Amino acid sequence: MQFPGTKALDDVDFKLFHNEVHAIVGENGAGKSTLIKVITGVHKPQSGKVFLNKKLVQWSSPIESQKNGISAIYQDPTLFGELSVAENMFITNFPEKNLFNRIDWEKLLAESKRILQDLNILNIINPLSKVKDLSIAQKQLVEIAKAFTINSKIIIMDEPTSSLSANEVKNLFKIIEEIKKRNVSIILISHKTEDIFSLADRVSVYRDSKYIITKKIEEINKDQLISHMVGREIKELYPKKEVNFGKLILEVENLSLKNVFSNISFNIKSGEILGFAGLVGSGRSEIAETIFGVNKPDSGKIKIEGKEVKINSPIDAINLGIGFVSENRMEHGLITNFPIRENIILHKLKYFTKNFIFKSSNAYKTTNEIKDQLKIKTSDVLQLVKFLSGGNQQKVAISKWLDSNAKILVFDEPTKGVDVATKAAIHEFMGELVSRGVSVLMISSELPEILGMSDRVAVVQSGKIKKILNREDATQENIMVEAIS
Amino acid sequence: MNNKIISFLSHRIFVLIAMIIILVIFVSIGAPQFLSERTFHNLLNNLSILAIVSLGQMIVMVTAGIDISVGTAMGLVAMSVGLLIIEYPNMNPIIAILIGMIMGTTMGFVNGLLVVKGKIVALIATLATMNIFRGINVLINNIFYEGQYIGAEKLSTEFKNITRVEILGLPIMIYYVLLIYLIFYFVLHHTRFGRQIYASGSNIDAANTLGINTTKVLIGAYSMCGLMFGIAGVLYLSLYTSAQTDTGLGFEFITITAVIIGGVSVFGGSGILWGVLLGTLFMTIITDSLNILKISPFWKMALNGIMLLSAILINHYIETRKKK
Amino acid sequence: MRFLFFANITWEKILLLILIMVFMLNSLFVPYYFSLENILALSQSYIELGVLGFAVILLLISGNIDISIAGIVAFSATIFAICFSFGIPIPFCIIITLITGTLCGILNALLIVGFNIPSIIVTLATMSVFRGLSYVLLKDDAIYGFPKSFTYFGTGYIPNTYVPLELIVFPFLILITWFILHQSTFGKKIYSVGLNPEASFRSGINVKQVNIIVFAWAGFLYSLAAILLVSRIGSVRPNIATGYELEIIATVVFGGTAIFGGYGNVWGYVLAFLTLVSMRSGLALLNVPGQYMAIIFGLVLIFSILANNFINQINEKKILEKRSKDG
Repeated sequence: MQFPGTKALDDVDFKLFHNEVHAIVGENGAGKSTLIKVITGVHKPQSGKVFLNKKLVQWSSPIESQKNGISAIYQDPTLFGELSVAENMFITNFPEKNLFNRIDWEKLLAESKRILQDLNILNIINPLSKVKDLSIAQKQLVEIAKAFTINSKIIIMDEPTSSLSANEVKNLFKIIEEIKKRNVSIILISHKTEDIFSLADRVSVYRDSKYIITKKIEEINKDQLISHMVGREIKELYPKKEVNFGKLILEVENLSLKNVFSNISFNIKSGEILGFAGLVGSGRSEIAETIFGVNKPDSGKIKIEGKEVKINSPIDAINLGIGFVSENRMEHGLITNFPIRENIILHKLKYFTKNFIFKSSNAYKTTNEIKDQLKIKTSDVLQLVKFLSGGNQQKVAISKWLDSNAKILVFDEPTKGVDVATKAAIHEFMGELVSRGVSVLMISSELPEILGMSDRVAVVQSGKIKKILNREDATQENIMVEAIS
Repeated sequence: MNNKIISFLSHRIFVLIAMIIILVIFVSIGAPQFLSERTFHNLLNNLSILAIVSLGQMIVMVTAGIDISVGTAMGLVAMSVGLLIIEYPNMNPIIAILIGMIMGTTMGFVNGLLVVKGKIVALIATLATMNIFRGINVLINNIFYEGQYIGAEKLSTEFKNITRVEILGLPIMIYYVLLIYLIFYFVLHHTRFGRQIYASGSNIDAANTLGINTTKVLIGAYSMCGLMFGIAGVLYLSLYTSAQTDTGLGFEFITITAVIIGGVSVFGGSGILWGVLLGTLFMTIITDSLNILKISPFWKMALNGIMLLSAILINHYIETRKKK
Repeated sequence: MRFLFFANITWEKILLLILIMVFMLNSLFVPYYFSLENILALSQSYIELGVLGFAVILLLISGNIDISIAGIVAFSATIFAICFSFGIPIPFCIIITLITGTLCGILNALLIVGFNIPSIIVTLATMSVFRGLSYVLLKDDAIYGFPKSFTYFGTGYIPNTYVPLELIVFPFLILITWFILHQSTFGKKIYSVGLNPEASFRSGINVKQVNIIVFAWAGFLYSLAAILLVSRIGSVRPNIATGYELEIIATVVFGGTAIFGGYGNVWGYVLAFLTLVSMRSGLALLNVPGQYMAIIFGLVLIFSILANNFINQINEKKILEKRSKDG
C-alpha cells in the first residue's frame, strides 16, 4: 500500500481467528493504522487481498465494512456532543418507520437500552444524556456500545485505555471478556504491554511497514515482544543515574482551584524528578498547568528558589525558568506549520530580537546546536515540523526548553504515543537534564515509567495529593492504593 | 431524547416568549395603535419573509457554516421572477413559486459546492456569491428591463393575491410560514438526514470517520437554505410588489441576528427552529415598532447591530455559565 | 515566510504572470491604455482600498477576519466631517479621526479577546453598529465644503507627473508592513498566533496583546483611508465606502494571504493590487459599469482560494515525497 513517497504497508499479512483477542503492536509508523484502515475500508490496498470468512472482499467505503460486521473504535472519540447517547449510537442507521422514513424514537430508545444493558453499563450511562456531558471513560463505553448496534463480528480497538484510569481500565477488561463470550473477535492495537498480556490471545508485530511475526501470548514474553518491535535490544528503558540534589527550586503551598484541585503542597529540589501519579482526570495536568500559568489558582503560594512569585500566564512562568511539555503536542506543544527553528525559539523570542528585528541567523545557529544535541532527524531546521515523524516531533517539543534558563521542566505524559526507541531517548535526556541541576515534574499514567524515573512520587487523587512516596518505598500497589481509594 | 432536549430548550423558548410579551407591552404603552389589527397583520407579513429566510440560515448555521448571500440572493430571485412575469403576464403563480424554489435551491447548491468541495470558508464563499448575485441582478435588470425597477402595475392580480388572501382572519403568509416550519421541524428532528446535519455541525471529523456522507449533508443544508430564500424571493415580490437591484441588501444580517437570538450556536450542532421563529418575531416587533414609536428610522441599522452584539454576548454568557 | 512554499510553483510567480497577462490584454483591447502614466493616474480611485488591504493582511494572518472595515471607515469619515462642521481645524479633525478609528479597532479586539468570541461574529455585529451610528449622526445628509488645501491631497497629482498625491502613502505602508511581517519579531508572533493561538499562548506569547495591536493598527489604517477618501470625494454621506469588504478581501486573498491565518506576505498583495487595479481600469475604460465589478471581484475571490488550495495540495504531495526520502 503506497502513499505518495512512502510505503505504508509492504507485503503484510494478518490473520484473525474466531473469538480471539488479537493484539497488533509496533512502533509509530510501523503500519498499524494503515492496516486497520485497509481492514475497515477507508483505504483500498494497491496490491494483495482481504478475505472475510474466507471470501474475498473489496470495500469501497467504511460503511460497507460496517455492514459486514466490522467496527472500529478509534482513539479520537467519534461522538457528537450535542446529540444524545442513543442518537450517537444509531447515527448511521436509525430505526425508521412510516413513509417519510420518520425516526422511530421509541424503538431507538428501547434498542439502546437493550445494548447498554447487555454490556452491563446501563447503570453508568443514560441513553438520553447528551454526550458532551459524559466523562472520557463514559464516552469510550458509548463507542463500544456503538459497535453493537450493527451486529459486529470484529471490533477493532485503537489504544482503548490511553485515556482511562486504572479502575476504568479494569472495567473495560471485564467488558471485553463479555464481548468475547459473544463470538466476537477483537483486534487490539496497543502500546501497553500490560494490556496486551492481560487481554490478548495472540499478538502480531509489525515494524517499518513490514509484518514480523505472530505468536500466541503464552509463547512470548515482554522483552522478546519489545525486541521484535524494535528489531534491536533495548537495554535500559529507564536509565537512572545517581544525582546529587541541590537546594529547593520549587515550593508549592496550599494551591487550590475550585472544583479542580485543593490544598496542593509539594516541593522539588534541583536535580530531582518528582513523579505525579494518579488516575486520568485526577487533576495532575491542571496542577502543572497552574504552575505554568495556564490556569490561575484561587489561593495558595508558589515559591521559586525561596521567593514567592505570582504566575499569571505562561509568559511569567517562562521568565521564571519554568518550561512545559504538553501532553497534546500537536495542538498545544508545537506549531506544526512553522519551521523547526521557530518552534524551538518561540518562547525565547526576546533573546533573538534586537531593535524589534528578528535575528534569524542567530536563531538558526542556536537551533542547529539543539538539533544536534537531541539528534533530531531532519535535513534542515527550516523544515516545517509537520513533516517530521512523531518521535522527532516530540523531540522538538521537548528540546525547545533546552535552555540555560530553564530551572523546572514539567513533562506531561512525555512518552505517550511514542515508539520505544524515542521513549528511551527521552528518558535518557531527562536523566541528563537533572544531572545538570534542572528539576523535573513528570506526570505519567504509566506506572513503570513513574517507578523507573522518579526520585519521589506524588500520588494525586481527585484533586488532592494523597501521599508523597520516596523512590525506595514506591511500588505499583501502594501507588494504586492511594490513587483509587 | 425528546424529553431532555425539550427541557433544555424550553428554557430559552420560555425566555424568548417572556421577552416578546414584555416588548409588546412596552411598545403598546408607548403607542397604543400597535395593538390594532392592521399593525398586527403587517407585522405578521413582515415577519413571514424574514422567518422563512432565517430558517434557511439556521440550517446552515447548525452545520457551523454561515450564508451571507441570502439577502442579495433573495433579491435576485425576486427580480428574475418579476422579469419573467412581465414577459408572461398570465403565468400561473404556482409556476412562479416553483421557479423561485428551483432557482433558490440551485443558488444554494452553488454555495454548498464552494464551501464543501471548493473548501472555501463559508463566510468568504458567500461573501463572494453575495456580490455575484447582486451583480447578476443588476445585469439582468439592465438587459431585460433597461434598469427600471419592477412595480405593482406589472404584476398580475393572481400573483399578488398569493400573499394577500386571509384565512380565519389571519394573513395567509403566516400559514405558509407555519407549514414550512412544520415540514422542516420534521426533517430536522425526525429524519436521519436532519440528525446528520446536526451531527456534521457538532463534529465533522467524527461524522466523516463514521461514514456519514458529509458532502451530501452539507451541500444539502446549503441547498435547503437556497430553497428558503427562493421561496422568500417570490413571496417578497408578491407581498411588496417590488423588485429592485438592491432588494434584500442587508437582509442577511437580520437573519443571522434572528438565528442567534433564537439560540443557535455559531459553532454548530445545536439549535431549534422554534427558537428562530421566536427570534424573528422579536426582531420584527422591534423594527416595526420603530415607526410607531416615532423613533428615527436611521436608528434601524445601529439597533440591528446592537441587538446582534447583545445576542452574541448573552449566548456566550449562557454557554460559559453552563460549562461551570 | 518564503519557506512555506517549497516547490517551484509559488503564488507570487503566478500573480506576476497574471499581472503581465492583464497588461497585455488591456493594451490589446483598451484604447490608449498601456502606459505607466495611465495606470498611475487611474489608480487614484483605488488607493484607499489599497491602504485598507495593508490592514487586512495583518488581520488575516493573525487568524482574524474583520468585516466591519467599511463600517469603521464610514464612521471615521462621519466623525471627521462632523468635527469639520463644528469648525475644528482640519489637522485636529485628522487627529481625532485617527484616534477614533484606532479606538474602533480596539473595541473590536476587546470584544473578541475579552469574551472569546470569533472575530467573524463580532465584526459582523460591529459592522452594523458603526455604520448604523454613521446614519444616526448624519441621517440623510451629506457634509461637504472641505477646504481646497485639504481636498487637493486627494485629487491632486505630484507636480509635473501623473502620480496621484495619495499614492505617496503606499511606499511607506509597503515598507512598514514588510518590516512588521518579515523582519520584526512581532511579525513572527502574528504568524504564530494565526497558525495556532493555543500553542503560541503556551510558548509565552501574549496572544491577546497581539490581537489588540493588530486590530488597533487596522483601525488606524481604516481611519487613514477614510481621510484620504474624504479628501478625494470631497463629501461624506453615511453610505460611504459601501461594499468595500468584498474588494479588499478579494485583493488580499488574491495576493496569497490565507483566510484561515498563518500565511501571507506583502509582495503578493502589492502584485495583486496592481493586477486588479489594472483590470479595473481597463474595464472602466471599456465602459463596463462599476456594478458589474462586484461579479468580477466575487469570481476573483473564489478563483484565488480554489487555486491556492490546489497549489497547496500539490506542494504538500511533493514535500511528503521528499520527507520519505529523508526518513
